[in-house]
Amino acid sequence: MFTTTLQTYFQSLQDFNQFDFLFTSLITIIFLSLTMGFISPFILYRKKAFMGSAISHSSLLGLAIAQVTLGLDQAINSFFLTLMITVFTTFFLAYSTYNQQKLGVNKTDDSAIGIFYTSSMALGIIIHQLFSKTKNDLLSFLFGNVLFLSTFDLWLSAILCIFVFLIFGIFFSKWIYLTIDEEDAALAGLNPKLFHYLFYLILTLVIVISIKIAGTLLIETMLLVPGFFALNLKLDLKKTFYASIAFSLCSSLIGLTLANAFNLPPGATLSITQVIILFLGFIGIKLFKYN
Amino acid sequence: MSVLSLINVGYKYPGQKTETLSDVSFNLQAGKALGIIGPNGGGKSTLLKIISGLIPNDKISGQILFNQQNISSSKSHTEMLTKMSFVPQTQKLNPLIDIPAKDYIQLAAKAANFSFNLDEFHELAQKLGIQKKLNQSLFTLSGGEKQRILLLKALLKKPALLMLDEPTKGLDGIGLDQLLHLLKNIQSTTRTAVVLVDHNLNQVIRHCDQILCLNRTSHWHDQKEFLTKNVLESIYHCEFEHLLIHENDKSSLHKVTDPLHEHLFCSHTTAHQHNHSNAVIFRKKK
Repeated sequence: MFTTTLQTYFQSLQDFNQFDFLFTSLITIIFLSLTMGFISPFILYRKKAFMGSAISHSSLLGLAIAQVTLGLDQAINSFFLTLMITVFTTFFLAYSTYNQQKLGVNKTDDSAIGIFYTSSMALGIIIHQLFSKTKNDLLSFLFGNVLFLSTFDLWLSAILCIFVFLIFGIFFSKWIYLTIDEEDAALAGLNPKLFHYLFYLILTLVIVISIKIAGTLLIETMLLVPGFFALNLKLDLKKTFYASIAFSLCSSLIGLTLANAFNLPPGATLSITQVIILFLGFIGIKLFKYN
Repeated sequence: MSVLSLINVGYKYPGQKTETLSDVSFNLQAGKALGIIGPNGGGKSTLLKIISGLIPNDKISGQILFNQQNISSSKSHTEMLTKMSFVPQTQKLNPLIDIPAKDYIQLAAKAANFSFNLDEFHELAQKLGIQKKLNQSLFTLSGGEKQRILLLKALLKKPALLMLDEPTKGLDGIGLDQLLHLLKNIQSTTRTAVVLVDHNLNQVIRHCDQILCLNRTSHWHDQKEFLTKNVLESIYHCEFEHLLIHENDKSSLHKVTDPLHEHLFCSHTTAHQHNHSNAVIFRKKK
């Protein structure tokens, strides 16, 4: 049975060569996994895991408004409207969290984020339920659907990947310095406010562009697991980023191919594959160290 | 040459009824050291945050001049930041990023665009007694060792103004001697002006050329000989023993140019100002 399963899996790999939409999703996932692998350690270092979750959940409001006003036919316009609404809500959160940090009050109080994102998500569901002509696409928003991926998404993910690598690569030392000690970096002349908003903008771009893959509910796994794996390897700084990127790329490719081979929902398969590889990786490392 | 001048600087934290600082004025020359003393909550750290720009300029009353330039405009303030170093009282380093001390300093130098000379780096590390700790992770260092790493980073910037908030905290006797020796050295060789906040009064009095006493009111002496035990006791509201000052030493007092000595016996009830010969003395109590 195991041999048959393996045969099915390897045979299904040819599908990516045969079907254009699968090829498009494969290339898109390569770009997005590279991007998410790169920013994942930053999300964890900057302790913004909850904020990532808030952005992805509140993007449902933008998706619902875009879908109701423009419909599924106007994919490009819908994307930009969703992005605009999500950037607006994210900047509202970014503003409130930055002011809290600056004033030194409610530093650990993330209840405002929790209230805001759940309410914006709820509003999105109500708008969708009341005004949308097609009710079934809500599941695609929540859990993703690679069938929706188009050449436009491929180009977007490629541009995003280049943009993220340039912004984080060129200013790598500044990002890390700000992450180690924001106050000291400000004293050295760096602008923490600019980097704070830039980080949230990039996070929003990554999430909105990746929603079609894993949906608003599952995208968080892809943003957190690679960094979590890499950070636990206790490597030096640069190797941590390499490990995160490698993990993200490999696990995403395995997840997508498994979903295609066994006709599983791609978003959920990607998420669960990453978590399984994470645990297997930890067990492997423990065994390696033990020996 | 005057490196730092404060003219009637005041600040009130948002939501507070009373000012943390009011009418603080002083003038610090290149190569000199200003010691800031006072009880907890007196506004010492707040004053350093104001000078370093951590508290926005638009919330502050009065004027701050750095190298004779007003720092109220953001452009000149950013430029100013490249010429000053500030080592805060507590540094909240992110515990998730575990990097060696040397890498941290190199990274900070690259991010803040100040030059990193390896020979200079090792020389300073030796003077601070931490040359063996440079490859160790920041989080395996003790409080005193971490403090020296931060000092090393601050000094590498070759600042015109070095501000230290309780730098002796966590340092052992040897570390303390090394630090004070190093400070004297950079004051004389590079003409760096030093602002030192510390609770160790003897250390401050011995090391600094000027003393600023803060107790939510300002009390400035540009000649530390004016500082007597009863002044300190009135600022801290407690009695002191074993202070290394010239208490009741009239001969010492007569050497300085303030024959009135009124400030020593001030009732602390009214605000007044003396301008007499070279000494400019402010004392205020609300």
